Amino acid sequence: MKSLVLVKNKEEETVIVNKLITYNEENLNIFIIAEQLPLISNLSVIENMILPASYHRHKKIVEYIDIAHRYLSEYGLENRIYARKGDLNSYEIFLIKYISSKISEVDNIAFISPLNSVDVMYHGNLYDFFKNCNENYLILDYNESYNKYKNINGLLKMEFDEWLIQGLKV
Amino acid sequence: MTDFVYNLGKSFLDFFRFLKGYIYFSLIIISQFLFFRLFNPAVFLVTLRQIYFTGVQIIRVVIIVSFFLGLGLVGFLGKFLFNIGAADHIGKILILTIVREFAPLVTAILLSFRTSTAISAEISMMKFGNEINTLRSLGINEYNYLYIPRVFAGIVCSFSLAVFFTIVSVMVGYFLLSFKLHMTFDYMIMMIFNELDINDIICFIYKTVLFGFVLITIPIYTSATSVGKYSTDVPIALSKGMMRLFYGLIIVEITGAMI
Repeated sequence: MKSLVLVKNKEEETVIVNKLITYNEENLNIFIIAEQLPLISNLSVIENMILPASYHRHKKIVEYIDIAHRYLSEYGLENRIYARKGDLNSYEIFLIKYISSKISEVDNIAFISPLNSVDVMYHGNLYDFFKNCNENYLILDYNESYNKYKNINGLLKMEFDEWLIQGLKV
Repeated sequence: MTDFVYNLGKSFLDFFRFLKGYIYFSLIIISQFLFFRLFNPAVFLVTLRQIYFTGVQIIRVVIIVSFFLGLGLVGFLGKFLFNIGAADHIGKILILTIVREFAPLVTAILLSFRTSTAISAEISMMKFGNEINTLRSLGINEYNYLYIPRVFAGIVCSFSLAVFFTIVSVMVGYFLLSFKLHMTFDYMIMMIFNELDINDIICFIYKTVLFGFVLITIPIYTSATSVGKYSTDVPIALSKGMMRLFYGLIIVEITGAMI
């Protein structure tokens, strides 16, 4: 299911992100993609991508590296494999986090204010990404951003209170 | 006068607040060692990297320092003891100076220059950049992934480098003695081992292990607790961590001398 939950302000968003983080205390249940949760700066792109999978899952690291290579090629990022966070643009960082969630085989992904975390010049790429993304995901964004998501098919708008009653289900 | 009393009281309070927090943090680190997932691929990789960074990359410096210290110390002491007719005591003196004092302390000082500062800066920047929160969001325990591998590498490398330091110093000292005093290597080693008792070995292990522990935990604790949302917190945490580390090394040195 693809859902869109709208929040009023930054404080509300922070509270929700902190709540979602508590779901991952023991295991990786929800992959949270947010600007306030950056890539680890002393790890390269590939190390960042395989980190959650190699910590939680039970395959060999070389297998994750192979998977990461495949995804990087798919998204045209193969020349970024050993880059650091500072060498990437905001959309590349977004994609690296998404690929990391795919490698980690997480069922649910939460995108937190994706439009704010990616530069305006990449918003077109971002809409295309959401249109083509077939995962179960939740987008959390501000009320005023609602119109920007209208063209994404299958995106279910959910009121914040309704979402709260459901227990912040992703 | 009021300011003086105020500052004195504040320093005392800060010290005891730090001590309380640090002891609590150390207890968590020690308890987390029980759950240390060394063979988890991600943790194993970071542990190997830390051992390489802390222990392997510094070997050249340790060789150079131990070479010159061995040359100076063993050569000078040997000649001096021979001149006063106490050459038979060279084993005991070498144990006292190299095994109990110089090897653990000089290794700790070298590691503090290189590793402690790097770890302090690294953790500070991670805290400032919210990267520790990223680890939490990925379900990764920061103690297991970030702190324990560094502490483990610090202890292992402090001990190993001190052993290495001892061997190089004694070997270099021997060459000098063999030229000047016509003393054979096996005779010198025999004298050292004759004088080596269990207390010296315990003291060596106590100092190297504890030096390794404080070299890593004090900078980590200081960085993790002192850095907030301002970039100016980073250099403050770094200098604060290094000063605290200096006191920590003195305390370990004093308690080690009691063994």
